[in-house]
Amino acid sequence: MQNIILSILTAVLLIPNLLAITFAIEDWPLTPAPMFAHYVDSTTPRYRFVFNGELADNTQKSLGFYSAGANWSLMRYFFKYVYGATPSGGVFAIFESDSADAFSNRLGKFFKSFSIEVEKRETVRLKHIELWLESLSEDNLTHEKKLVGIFDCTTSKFTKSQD
Amino acid sequence: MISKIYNLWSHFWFAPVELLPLGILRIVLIGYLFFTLPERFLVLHWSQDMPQEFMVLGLALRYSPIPYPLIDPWIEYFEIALRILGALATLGIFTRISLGFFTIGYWYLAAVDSAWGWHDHGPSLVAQVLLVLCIAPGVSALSIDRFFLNRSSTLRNRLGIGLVGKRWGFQMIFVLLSLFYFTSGFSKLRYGGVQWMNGETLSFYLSGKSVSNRIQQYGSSASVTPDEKWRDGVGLDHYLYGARPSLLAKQIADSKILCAILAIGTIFFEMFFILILLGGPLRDLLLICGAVFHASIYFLMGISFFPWILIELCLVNWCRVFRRQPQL
Repeated sequence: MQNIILSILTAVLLIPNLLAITFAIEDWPLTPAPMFAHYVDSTTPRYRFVFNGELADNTQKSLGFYSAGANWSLMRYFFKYVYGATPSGGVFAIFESDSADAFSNRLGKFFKSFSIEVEKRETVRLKHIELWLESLSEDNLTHEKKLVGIFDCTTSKFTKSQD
Repeated sequence: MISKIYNLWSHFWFAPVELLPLGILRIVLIGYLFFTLPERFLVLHWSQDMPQEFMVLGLALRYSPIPYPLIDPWIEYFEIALRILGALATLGIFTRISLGFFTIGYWYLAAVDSAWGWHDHGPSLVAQVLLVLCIAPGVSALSIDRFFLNRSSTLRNRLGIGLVGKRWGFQMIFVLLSLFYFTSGFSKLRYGGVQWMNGETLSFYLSGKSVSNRIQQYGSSASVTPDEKWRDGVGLDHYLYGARPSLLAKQIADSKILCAILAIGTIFFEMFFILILLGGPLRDLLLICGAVFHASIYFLMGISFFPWILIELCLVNWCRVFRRQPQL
């Protein structure tokens, strides 16, 4: 009986954990524990996303991560499951054969839900949302910024900016 | 040869051991989780409020017997039920049943917490330890069940003090702890490379620069090729983790040598924690070091792994540590 229980526990707990470690799979509670693992030093370039909304009356509004009612982990969701990491990201890189079209489609779907939620919570009308990537200085101030693309709230389409 | 391996295997899992620590672990761990339930339910309420398209239901939620999302008034009923189950499991009333249902509920809450695009690493181990406790021999030591059902004339027997049984419950928890520690150390080499040991990454996080007005930061690495930069010209490959470093941590961050020593020590400690499986005094030493390690993470970085500390301290053979005559 004890051997049977042990076999079940091995199959249910140990083998999945070993697979998660070996193949870098992160699906709670399985994890290869990538926290604090990527190399960062004081000179490593760091970035942040900025969502900039233009309202129907042509005024600008900065849309924080909290705009959709979620806490700041929304931006982790956005990065891992919408934006996508380069293959060296390990557990963060979940889109193996990503393309510009697939990227735009994912961001279009995300910003559609996001804009609906913002309009509902803040009773505003959005025309479009710009997605900016800002590089940070050593003091965490904006160093440079680059427009990644624009989401049109009327057509619900995200258009990636040309390099 | 085969019989030798079989004997070693049998000894590893099924050697007799005093089971009382698992009863203590049940009381301490479930008791702690019981008092942290309000935080878990707060997250559950948040999750209900956010657009469900932003939730990524992992394995644990997809196969949970509790549906997601829960609708009112079921959240309230669920909260009441889980509080009652937590209290019953801590006290040891219908121990295995209450512990089993509490475990299902805790898995659900922690899985919801981890369905927002991040991974709650602390409860990953705790949830799996709970699963082991549900079926491990000895978990009903120091329970009200045992006190009333055991017909023995001595109080020791009725409480389960001195109760001896097979140790596979302990061993399974030690194997899980080893895996979690090993992968933490291994990931630092896997993603950060050997240069992680130069202490710069530790110094960066201890300085508090990864947290700025709670804005999530992202990083890229030198291994990103030009072809992989098509999204933004940068090629982001990871997000940075948050830490709330203390004043002491910020002072340590200024010392490159100390950070390098701590970084090297961290990787070696995490990767060699697996030696715990050899047992003996080394096991006690590693468990105590593990508790100190996580306590220092809390005091330096503000990240709580308190349930891990409880698990480790409960499984130390304190009789051996204080050179008292061990039971077995």
